[in-house]
Amino acid sequence: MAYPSKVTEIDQRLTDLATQYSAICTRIESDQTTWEDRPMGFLQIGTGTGGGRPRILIVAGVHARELAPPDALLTFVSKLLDAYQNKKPIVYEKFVDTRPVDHNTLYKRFTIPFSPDVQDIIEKTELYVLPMANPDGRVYVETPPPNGFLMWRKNRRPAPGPLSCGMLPDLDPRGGLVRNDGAGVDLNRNFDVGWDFKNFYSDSFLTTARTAANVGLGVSDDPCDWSLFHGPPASSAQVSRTREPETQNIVDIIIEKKINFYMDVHSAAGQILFPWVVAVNQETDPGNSFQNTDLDQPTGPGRDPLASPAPYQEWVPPGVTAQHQALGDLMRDKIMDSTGYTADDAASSNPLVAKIATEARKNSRYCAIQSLFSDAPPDAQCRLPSSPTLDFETGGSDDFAFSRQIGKNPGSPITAKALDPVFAFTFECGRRTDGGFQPKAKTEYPKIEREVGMGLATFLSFAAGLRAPVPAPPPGPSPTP
Amino acid sequence: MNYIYIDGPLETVRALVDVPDMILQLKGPEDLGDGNIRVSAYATDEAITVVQARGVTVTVVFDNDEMAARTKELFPGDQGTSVT
Repeated sequence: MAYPSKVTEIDQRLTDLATQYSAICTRIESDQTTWEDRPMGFLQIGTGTGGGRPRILIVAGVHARELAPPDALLTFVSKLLDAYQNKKPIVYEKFVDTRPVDHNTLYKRFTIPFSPDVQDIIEKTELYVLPMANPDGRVYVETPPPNGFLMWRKNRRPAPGPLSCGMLPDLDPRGGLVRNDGAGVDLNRNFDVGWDFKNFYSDSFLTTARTAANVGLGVSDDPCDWSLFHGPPASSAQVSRTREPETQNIVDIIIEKKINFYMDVHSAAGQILFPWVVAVNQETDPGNSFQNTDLDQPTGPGRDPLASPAPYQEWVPPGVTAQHQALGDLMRDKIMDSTGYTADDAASSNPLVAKIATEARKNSRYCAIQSLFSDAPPDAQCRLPSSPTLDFETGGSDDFAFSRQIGKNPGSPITAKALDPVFAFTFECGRRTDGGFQPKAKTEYPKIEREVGMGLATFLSFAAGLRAPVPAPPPGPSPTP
Repeated sequence: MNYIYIDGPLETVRALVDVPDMILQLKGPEDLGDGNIRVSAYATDEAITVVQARGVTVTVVFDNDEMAARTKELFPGDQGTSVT
């Protein structure tokens, strides 16, 4: 299948895979269709369910303009199914990068073994794959102006009434300006952790976050914001809030299937990100939690992650951040090694070998960091600066999946408590040197596809090795003060 | 529209979020090791002029013609027309 696949082609591919590999792959329809009445099919993969299997969900296509993730994910899934059926390894062929001006860079062929990796993934996990989480938005990207826009990110929820939002920037090279019709919600700001950000945070924080040099707040309650609008408030007094149908479909899988390994594939920052993004992680005070509604405005003070000397920090069960860092680092190392060059090659006495190996490993380096620090420049060893910039966001999908491991103790004061662990990541595949949101099919995309393949295989093999419930984190302090 | 790299001091680069007609990609910045960072952006010609006036260095990776060719390759078919 040629990249980039159209929405209809992705949808057909799900059906084809379920037909071709019917013993281990089933197509399931999400309960809700999109605003433009498109189906959101997903795959269930594996030889069975239950029995303590890890339950995994991989999502792609949440942001419409990020072209590579849906195809890269489905390519991996196709290879996985084919490898299992034919009892052979997954193979990613070599890629010759012809873009450097003075030499070519060979990214070598690599394989993922049938045993134990492919076999364990299929036989020991319950895997769900939703490759096109925002089909309406993607169709809008596919459509030239004035009826579409290459740089569209949100879904296509109709505008909440007549709005005068002006024109979108002149950023579609197919020509022509496009009205900002006020439609759409950023699905990755529409999930339930801190969604109501103006009550989740304190007023003083919101003021500071908009003006401080090293702080960002990447969410908006303005429907005219054509990137970051988090969605409208509740549609009636009977519901606490209104989720987008695309969001609801993902939430349904996470809750109904009891997902304990979650991966949301985006592009193109070249990072492996893990929660939280709402505040700095801490493991000592379960009273500082999204679960503690006593902190919400207007009845409470709101949370201030920049307060001095005691900034609000978000509770994580002890050990969980370290577990995410370790798995993220493992994915990083495996992706770098998939270039075919080792750290020793990069130190070779042959200057050309050293140059190519260094370049290939650098170009395939995905630092694993907490999402809050995604705007901070890491060094070559992926260490963050001592005072990193902070990029606060709310309503993220990985934060929501992650939040399912955090319950609430009964009584007052409200404190959080640890439930069965959940691993949750955002995989920002590709990087600015790989064509940004629109990698070219032959000269850029194949490198991304390889990196997604190795990253996902590592993630899934790790999950397969941890039969649920995954090892509990070390005991922490008593949740009751 | 252009796809560009922007090199400059972290605080100067981050302050570019208020420049209109530009999609600034702050995630995954590269430390250039000389006190500057590198980020990428999609920007109109006018936005590039504004950005350069702030004292950062702009490298055009793909100009409008290259972006048009790239997009046509990815989405072959009818080209759009202006809204009147």
